[in-house]
Amino acid sequence: MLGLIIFVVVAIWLYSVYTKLIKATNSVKEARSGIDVQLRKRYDLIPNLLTIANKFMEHEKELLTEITKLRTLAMEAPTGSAASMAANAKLDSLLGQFKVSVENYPNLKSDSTMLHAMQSYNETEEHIAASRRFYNSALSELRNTAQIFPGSLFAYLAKSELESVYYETSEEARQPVNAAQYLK
Amino acid sequence: MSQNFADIENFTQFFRRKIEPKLHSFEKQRKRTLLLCNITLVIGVILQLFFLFAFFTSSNSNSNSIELLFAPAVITGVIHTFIKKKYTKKVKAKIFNAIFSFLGDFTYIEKNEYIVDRSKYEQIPMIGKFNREPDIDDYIRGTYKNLPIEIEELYLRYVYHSNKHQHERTVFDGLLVTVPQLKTTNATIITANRKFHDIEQLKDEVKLEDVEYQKIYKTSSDNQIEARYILTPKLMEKLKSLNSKGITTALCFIRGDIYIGIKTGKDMFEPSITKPATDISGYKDIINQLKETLQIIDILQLEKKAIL
Repeated sequence: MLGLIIFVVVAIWLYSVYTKLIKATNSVKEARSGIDVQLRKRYDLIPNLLTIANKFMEHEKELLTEITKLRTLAMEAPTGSAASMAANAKLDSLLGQFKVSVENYPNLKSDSTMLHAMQSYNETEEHIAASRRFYNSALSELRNTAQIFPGSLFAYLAKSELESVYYETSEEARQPVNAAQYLK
Repeated sequence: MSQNFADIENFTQFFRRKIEPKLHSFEKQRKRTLLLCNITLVIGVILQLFFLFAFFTSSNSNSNSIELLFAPAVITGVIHTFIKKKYTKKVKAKIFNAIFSFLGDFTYIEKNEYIVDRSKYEQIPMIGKFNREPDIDDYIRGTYKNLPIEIEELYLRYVYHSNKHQHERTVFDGLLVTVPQLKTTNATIITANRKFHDIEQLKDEVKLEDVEYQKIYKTSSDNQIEARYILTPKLMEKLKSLNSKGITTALCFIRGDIYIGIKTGKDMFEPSITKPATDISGYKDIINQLKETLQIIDILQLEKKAIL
């Protein structure tokens, strides 16, 4: 009888660990799709920004072309893949440069369509940052669950998610901005 | 009207010019109120001592007599509060609008001038379940840094019965500040200091990456991403700084409004009955109480969309 009770208790315990791991795995997937949704929003906004900017930014054609190329690259890469992360990190940096460059064009800066587009863009950027924070938090929770016994017994179930990497600020973004470069 | 706080020296001049003349007529009434309060206290203490003496010397003390043991203290407290409130209500009606105008565009609304909307509090998730009528002691409305603002001193209770006894639980006791939410979201987000009332009832916890913040505040939301969109690292830092100043708050972002609950632990905006009616010190405290409440908006920078 005692053996049966112990067996039932252990089975319930293992089952709860198993469900915790599955929930954590699903949370990572949900977080990743959250980033995807926000990135899609940004991809949709970029052409609008560039179309408006193109009319005013005579000397930034190269930057605008590079942003367009990177947008295509980022859109084509699978979400969460190293290629997608690298492309988006570079895109973050270039769009940062773009925002600084806009300051050089007072007519563009005060254009109502541009103001509206920039506002939408900034909101999307904040949502992307929030989605990435959620993703990092969900991944951290999953790793803790999967690496600590008895969660480690079921870790193989979340193998693909465990191989994911955290979103970190790129080295490029960490560098101080050389404002003089953009404010010629 | 200027939204900047003038210093307290200016308040002294303002008080002497605009408030003091209105207060002279209250001095006689204040003295009478104080006398009545003191008489009530003395009678209450004598009765309480008599009850205690009777209880400990009587041979047939039972559970019913224990319940009645502190009845004089309770009744004295109720009568004392009633007499005091009768006086302070008149003072507030006469001078609070003028007092608060020192800090800008603020109006003190008297109790009989507004309807208490119980459903408003029921729809704020950071406020737990209550089953007694909301008690709003003070209600101030105004504009601060171009934001319409409402400040209510609110008391909510939940009464329940167990083992044939009636128990009372305080659900909310403090200030409830309402300001519009500039950074929009469709989600409901609550972040409450762990020392705030009833935080156990908050479900769908959001585990934020700031460990120190997590220790101080409990956050809950129906949307993990939107919660982080609103609770940026910057806002979390500001909320931590509020806690380090000893201010216990809870914030709720819902339907385009921000509700800020502030645990005060004392009756706010109350004129003194022990000091002369024209004594400025009590009114300086009242001004400081409103100033400190508004400073929470400053610290959290709720008037700026980008910072939040």
